[in-house]
Amino acid sequence: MLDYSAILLKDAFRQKGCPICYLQERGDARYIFSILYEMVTDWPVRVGFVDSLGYCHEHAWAQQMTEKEQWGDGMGTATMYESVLEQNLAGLDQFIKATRREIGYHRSPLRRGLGRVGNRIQQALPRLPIQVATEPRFPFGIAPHGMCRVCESGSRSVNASLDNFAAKIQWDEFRAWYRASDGLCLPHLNAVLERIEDSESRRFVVEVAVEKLEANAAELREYWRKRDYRFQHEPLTAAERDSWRRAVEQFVGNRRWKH
Amino acid sequence: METLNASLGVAITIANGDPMAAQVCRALMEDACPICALTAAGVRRYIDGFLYESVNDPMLREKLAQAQGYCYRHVWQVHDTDGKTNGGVGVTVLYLDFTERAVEGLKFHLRYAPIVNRLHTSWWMRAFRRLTGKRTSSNARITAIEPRALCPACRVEQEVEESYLDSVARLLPKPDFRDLYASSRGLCLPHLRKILAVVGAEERLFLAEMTHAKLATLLHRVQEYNRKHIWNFRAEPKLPEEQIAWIRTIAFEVGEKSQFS
Repeated sequence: MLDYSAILLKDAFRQKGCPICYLQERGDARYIFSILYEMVTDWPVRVGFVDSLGYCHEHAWAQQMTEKEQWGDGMGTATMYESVLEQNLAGLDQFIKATRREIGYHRSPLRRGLGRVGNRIQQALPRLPIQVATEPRFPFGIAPHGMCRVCESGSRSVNASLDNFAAKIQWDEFRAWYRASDGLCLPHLNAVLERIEDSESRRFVVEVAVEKLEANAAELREYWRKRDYRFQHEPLTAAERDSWRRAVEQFVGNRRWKH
Repeated sequence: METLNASLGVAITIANGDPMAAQVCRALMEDACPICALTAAGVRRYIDGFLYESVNDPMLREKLAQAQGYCYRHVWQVHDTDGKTNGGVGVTVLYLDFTERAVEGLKFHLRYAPIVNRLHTSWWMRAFRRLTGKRTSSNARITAIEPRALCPACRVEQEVEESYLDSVARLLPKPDFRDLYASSRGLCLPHLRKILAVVGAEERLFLAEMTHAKLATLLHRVQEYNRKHIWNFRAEPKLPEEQIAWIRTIAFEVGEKSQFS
């Protein structure tokens, strides 16, 4: 039965590149946009945002870009990051106090006396191959509590798309859409194969992937050949000119945030 | 030019003959996290060098093939660099090879998948699974199209980052360097965390106090930026440092914006 998820995938198959990557990017972009559009002052959203100390590198800069493009300023982002900065300062305060206590402890006469005794004992004993971890424990504010909320929501939507793909690949109509698309990128191909139980469908998915890779390899060969000065008079087709970008996409997925 | 020479002079004096330390001091004078900037420059140099002379190196190709090419973050950097300098021929040569290998791997899978399937669904294999509780099934990933090694650019990035962090850690006890650090933008939070984990308590205290002071200023600017967007205060002049405070905040929280992020 043609349901909403199938329509989403059908639309994604018509786009350039891996359909799952397309859906992921669109989902991430919508998430960031909707937060900026109407949830900047939403309390649960802010708590989550502060919990992860903002977003990850990719999504933090995507948020900046989105706001700049859509509204021409950074009001929403600045408002959200105000709380993060306050948490940073609280965390640093805590860390400074703990470090001062640590320095004071090391400088105290009692500690120094104990340290000397400890050193003598250590010298007297055979050296043990034990390394004591000296890494300080960072308070919340220097280290985040949770993971990036966009990544979290993105991974949920990718899993849902992969599950839908795996569930619908037995349909003939769906297979035709998939065959007409640019195909899955290799990371998503493997992720889909993990979810398909039926061996005949698995075979079909892999066969289509081979077709797409071979077609692009032929275009890559042509592009390379026509870059040779002996054949440089031969005109390049649009597909050949684009083949090296597509090859990269087939290996790592669509390029995100390219606007 | 004179300013550049003066800043280079300061950097060389503090570094005391250590070229890496001099680079760190020089980077501190720029308007960015020094480790982010130096690491990005290191990776850029690696990619330029690789595309210039190592695309056809069989040993490097093999290593790259093990990693299934570059990771998502670096491959687009390679793509853009090669597009600007060679019209994409380097990427074409590399990815034609990787594509052929991937096709070979997938064809191998198609050839032997029925045998593996029969094996997985055999009564003795099912009995073995039930006995051992292992949940291996026929719908597993195809390892031939999975990276079996770390992306070489990631490895370079890690090494460069570690060496510069080490350099900062060695420079931190010097009072001259501390003055320079105090006048700079300082480290971003991810790099601050990394350096706090390796330096002594005195240096940790210095870095934390410096960051606290810088962040307090940044927070004030962000608050001013937000306040001046309110209708009642719209007439107040918006200072340039307030206008970019929100971008600086992102740069502090996650590191500098790379061209390919």
